Amino acid sequence: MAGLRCINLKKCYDNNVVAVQGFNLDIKDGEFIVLLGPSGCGKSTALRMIAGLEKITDGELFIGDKLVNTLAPSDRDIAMVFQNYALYGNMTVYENIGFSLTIRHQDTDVIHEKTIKAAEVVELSRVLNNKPANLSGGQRQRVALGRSMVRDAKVFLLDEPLSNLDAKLRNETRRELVKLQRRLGTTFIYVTHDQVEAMTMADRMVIMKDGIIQQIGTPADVYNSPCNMFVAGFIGSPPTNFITGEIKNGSFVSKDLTFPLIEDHKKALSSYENRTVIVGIRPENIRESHVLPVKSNDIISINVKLDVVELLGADMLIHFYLNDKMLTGKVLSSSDFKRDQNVELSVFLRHVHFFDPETTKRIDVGGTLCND
Amino acid sequence: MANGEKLFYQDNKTGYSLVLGFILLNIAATIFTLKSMYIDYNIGIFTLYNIILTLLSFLAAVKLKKYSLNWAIFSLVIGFLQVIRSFRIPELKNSDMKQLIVILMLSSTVLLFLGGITTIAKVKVKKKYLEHKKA
Ligand SMILES: Nc1ncnc2c1ncn2[C@@H]1O[C@H](COP(=O)(O)OP(=O)(O)OP(=O)(O)O)[C@@H](O)[C@H]1O
Ligand SMILES: [Mg+2]
Repeated sequence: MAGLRCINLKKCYDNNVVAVQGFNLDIKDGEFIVLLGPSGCGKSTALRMIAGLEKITDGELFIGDKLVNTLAPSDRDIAMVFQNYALYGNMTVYENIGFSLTIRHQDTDVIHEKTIKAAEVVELSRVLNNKPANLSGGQRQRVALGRSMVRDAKVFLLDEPLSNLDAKLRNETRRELVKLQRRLGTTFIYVTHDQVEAMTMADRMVIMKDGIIQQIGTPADVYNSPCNMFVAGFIGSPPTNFITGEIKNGSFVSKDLTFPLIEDHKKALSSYENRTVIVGIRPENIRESHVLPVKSNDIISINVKLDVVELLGADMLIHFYLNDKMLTGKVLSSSDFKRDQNVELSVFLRHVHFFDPETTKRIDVGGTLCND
Repeated sequence: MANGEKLFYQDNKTGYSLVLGFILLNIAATIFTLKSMYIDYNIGIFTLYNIILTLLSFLAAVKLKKYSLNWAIFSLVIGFLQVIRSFRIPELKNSDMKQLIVILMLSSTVLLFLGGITTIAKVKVKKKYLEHKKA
């Protein structure tokens, strides 16, 4: 087991596409790291560079204390799990799991011992003599995991391993993966574009966009203090509402929405007086008024006419226009709102974020702003 | 001796390879024999016998790989026949070859016996494991 350190990693493909740049990441031993970002942002490329499947154009990569830039994948003590499992269809589960040892001509007793142990960990002991074709998707994924476990790798790399599974199985396998990681105590680097997966599994998550890391932090950090508009918009479902306006006399003023700033925000925004800012309000901070305990100056009321109502089960998404700006809120489905109804909603001002329109960075409220 | 659980999951590669070794040595012996045999109707019988023997023992090799007790016993039978054959080598033009051919045939028999016997032993261990597992 070992930590992993990426210093300024860069990947430039032959056709001059820069897929990843300035990739700085310090991973502690035994951490569960999730790389998250939209399609094409370079997550797989970053992972493949760590695995050694892709040549590193620039920068340094340490596994433990060893510089591994030029090491072959097989010498890096890593194990990779691919999205499409890549199992051998003509071999049994047992042979698939033990395969990496068989080709290294290990003693059959050693192979047996390690295979059985790995199969126990991924709970496949009952199907060891089956062929992959006779397994469920989740079981196949676990075969792929088991196969990477027999090698005693220091780091596990997983590239969207759950994307082939149905929703229910994905939830189960997700939990199993987290449990497995705890049991093994090995460093996991997990790539996904599913933010629910990222939020639920990660010790720390790395948000990427266009090959550049936007933010690194715990799921709570990233959700509560997104460092720029991209992260605020990408994390959270449905995405954050953004409204452009100006700071005037301690108030946020726009043609759609105007509200007085609370004390903490006033201080932080003092240098933005008479300047344009963008406010980000999460849908879950726009609620129905009648569930609120007391009126306070952290909360403002708005009267709107609902445009679209979407029932999600316990919650209900409401879409409405403020002037010509479409916003989304999230209310309890028990509030029983209907389309075209006029309702009073409350906005929780304590949880709004302000962003600088030029840099798109968050203007911080009394804390430290995250990395650049 | 190997443990039964391992045998349950892994193929019997030893038995398989030993019988393959038998086939190779027997083919070598056949070629040397044919080379110095007198041409009469015996040569047809001899050739036919060896073709069938090769096919059957290859079948046995594959079956041994999957721990077949019957085929393990059958391979011992082939082994006995092989011993008898090595004392009844057809008349040769070149009698110097005789010694080489006998050595080849006997050593092929040794491989076959080893393959059959180890397989029978493994089948027993495996059976015990499976019974134990059921209980
Ligand atoms: N072999 C290649 N040659 C040239 N460009 C490539 C190559 N592989 C990937 N790219 C480009 O690099 C960028 C990053 O690709 P990458 O596969 O890392 O994205 P990703 O974040 O894994 O996306 P997804 O979520 O869809 O898997 C993309 O713009 C892609 O077009
Ligand atoms: Mg990818």
